[in-house]
Amino acid sequence: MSAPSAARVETALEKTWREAQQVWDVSVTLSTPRPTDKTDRAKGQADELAYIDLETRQVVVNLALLERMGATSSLTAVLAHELGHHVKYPHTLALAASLIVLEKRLIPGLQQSLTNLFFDLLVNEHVGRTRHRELCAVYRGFQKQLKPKEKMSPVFLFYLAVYEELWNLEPGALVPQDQLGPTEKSYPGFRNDARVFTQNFYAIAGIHKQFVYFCSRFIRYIEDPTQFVYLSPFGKDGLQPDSDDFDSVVRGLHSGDVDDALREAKQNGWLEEGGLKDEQDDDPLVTIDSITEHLPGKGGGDFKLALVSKHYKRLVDQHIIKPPPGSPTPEATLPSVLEEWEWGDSPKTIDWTGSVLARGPLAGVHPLRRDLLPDDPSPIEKDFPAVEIYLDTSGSMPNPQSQLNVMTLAAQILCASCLRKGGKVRGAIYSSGPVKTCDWIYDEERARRFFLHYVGGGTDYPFRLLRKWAEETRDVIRVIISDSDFLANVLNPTSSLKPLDTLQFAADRSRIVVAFLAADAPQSRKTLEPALRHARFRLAIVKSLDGFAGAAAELSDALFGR
Amino acid sequence: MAFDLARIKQQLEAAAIASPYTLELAAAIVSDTFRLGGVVPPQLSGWKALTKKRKERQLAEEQLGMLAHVLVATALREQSIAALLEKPVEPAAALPAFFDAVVPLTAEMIRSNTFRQEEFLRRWIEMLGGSVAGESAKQFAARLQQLDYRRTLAEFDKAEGARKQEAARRAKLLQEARDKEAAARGWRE
Repeated sequence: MSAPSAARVETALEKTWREAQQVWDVSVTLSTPRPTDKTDRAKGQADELAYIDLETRQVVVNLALLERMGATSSLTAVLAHELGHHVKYPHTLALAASLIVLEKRLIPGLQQSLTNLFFDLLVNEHVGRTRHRELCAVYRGFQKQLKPKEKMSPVFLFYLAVYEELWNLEPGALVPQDQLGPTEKSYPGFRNDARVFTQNFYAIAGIHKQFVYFCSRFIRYIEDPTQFVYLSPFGKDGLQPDSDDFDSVVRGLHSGDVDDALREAKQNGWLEEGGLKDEQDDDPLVTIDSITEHLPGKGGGDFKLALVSKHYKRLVDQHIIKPPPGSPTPEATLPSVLEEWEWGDSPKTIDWTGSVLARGPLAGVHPLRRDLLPDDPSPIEKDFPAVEIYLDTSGSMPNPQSQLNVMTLAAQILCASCLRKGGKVRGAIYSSGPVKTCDWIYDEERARRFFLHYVGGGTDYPFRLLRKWAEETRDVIRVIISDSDFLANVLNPTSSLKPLDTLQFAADRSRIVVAFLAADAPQSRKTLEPALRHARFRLAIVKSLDGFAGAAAELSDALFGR
Repeated sequence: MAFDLARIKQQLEAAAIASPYTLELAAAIVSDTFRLGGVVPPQLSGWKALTKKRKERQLAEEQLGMLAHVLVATALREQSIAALLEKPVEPAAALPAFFDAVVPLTAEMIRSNTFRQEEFLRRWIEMLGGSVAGESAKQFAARLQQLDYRRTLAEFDKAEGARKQEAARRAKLLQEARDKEAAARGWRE
């Protein structure tokens, strides 16, 4: 039999799409679903039965797989399922992100998120009111498709038992018959568990409360959270919150709902029954760490860095109450020279007066254009601050991506202050061993990301680099951020670099050098006394680590003006 | 008499969630249903025995209120009357049995939990000797058994011992995972 033409497939999809919309009693403005194609292969979703891309809101369905499952008559239910993710569960990716964060809080180390199964339970309850037979066909077809090596996890068996209870089916209608006995033996009360779960779960008001209850019951079927993976026909059909979604949760979106849900769960004994414990760390960086822990490879690193960067930006902004970065771009008001207008140029650029004066009667045929240019202020009038920051990231301070590192925050505040004044920044991140440096940075986000680097060894101030940069560039503000270890570096008798001489040399060739230290003031003054005699060397002492950020803001005001 | 349960449930979804009837009014509504079905309803003393004198007095009053609400808001009333006309029941025996069968169900459960609501309706249909359209007597009994909240809870409790042991083991596992994550983060102030 020949494959149906693309037009016929599209017509069939349009028809079933309308039926799917009727299931939810909505009319949506989404485009008609499309069959899987090579772009899905590139996204790694070619093997999915169906999914909705919640960024573009396009539903994609794998018709070939549906046919192999023997469930072609279930197309409406499959589309209605995907539509359900769009119209109600989760509807927004921020909600999905909030549940993922809650899940990490309750089940630390969980390898594969349960949120998709959770949303599927909610969606299928609605779709199944009218089309549960079609959904059953999909779940049965899915089991037939499994390879011999692929086993259904106890979680998925429990999930199927829930549908049997929900749709009033005989045990074994979805759970494989040969699994009924062994599962009941491994998990005494399995069937009743599914029954009680079904009868309680759908009656709970509030999606966060439902999710906590769901976790407290499903956790029983997860042997080891760190190894937990499951297969499902709708396994990856949505739910890819991005860094903005997670950031909104870190900032507190849905936190009230989460607190209410956990309070009620504790009152009802759900957490205790499930062996769950709610231990939230107040540091948002710990939350970010747990969100990103199981993300694969480099993508995970970038994702984490984006979230950490947003968090530090908020902390920086708490200390710098200033207008937005830089000054607004000057408006284009300065007329440029007349040029030939060509087809394809904007007609708005035609200078008719100039064209008539220059071309006479031919102005209409060969008009001339004149652009308006912004009137940039003269570079001489500008005073760009240029700052070099030497940031100590030895092991005496935490990794800024996992926990708040106040020295890193201080560097970020200085950076942001400088860049928002139209300046430029470069940095050296040191501990022991190689020093991480960057070229001049003009962009706040890039600078923020650079200063999130961490080494975490001993403390070995790079005097050689300070000398090199001082030789290369004059008229720079140089700030050393460290603790009492810096004093030990200065006094190091084995150093061949003569640290105090290097500091004085740097002061000679800088606008100012500031040693910004969390150290004992008298000891610091004593140690740095020869350098302090130089007019352009300053010592700024922070009494406690908590005061670093505030002191950095004050130092910024002093260096760059309010 | 086969009751159209799907229709009744649909009508109930569209109705107000709480019963607006006082205890006396609720008793009058149920009495009227019996009367229209050609059956003499319980006397005032009979209603008192069914509610005020019961051990679960508060619960019985809530349930009576919900029963009256469902009778008025849905087709349950007309179908109940038809069932009574077809096969009369003796309220003095049937009503106490009904209230005994629905003992654990609070008004809140009946309102908010679709399973408890169905159990409540099926118990009423069972009391009238009716059945549900599209279901055999065996299926009707099986579904009622499946929905039996008391039985489910009793069986569920039996497995709680095993669950508690599992929960302790799981709590240990989760604590280990938590510690591992904290250790991976390293430095703590």
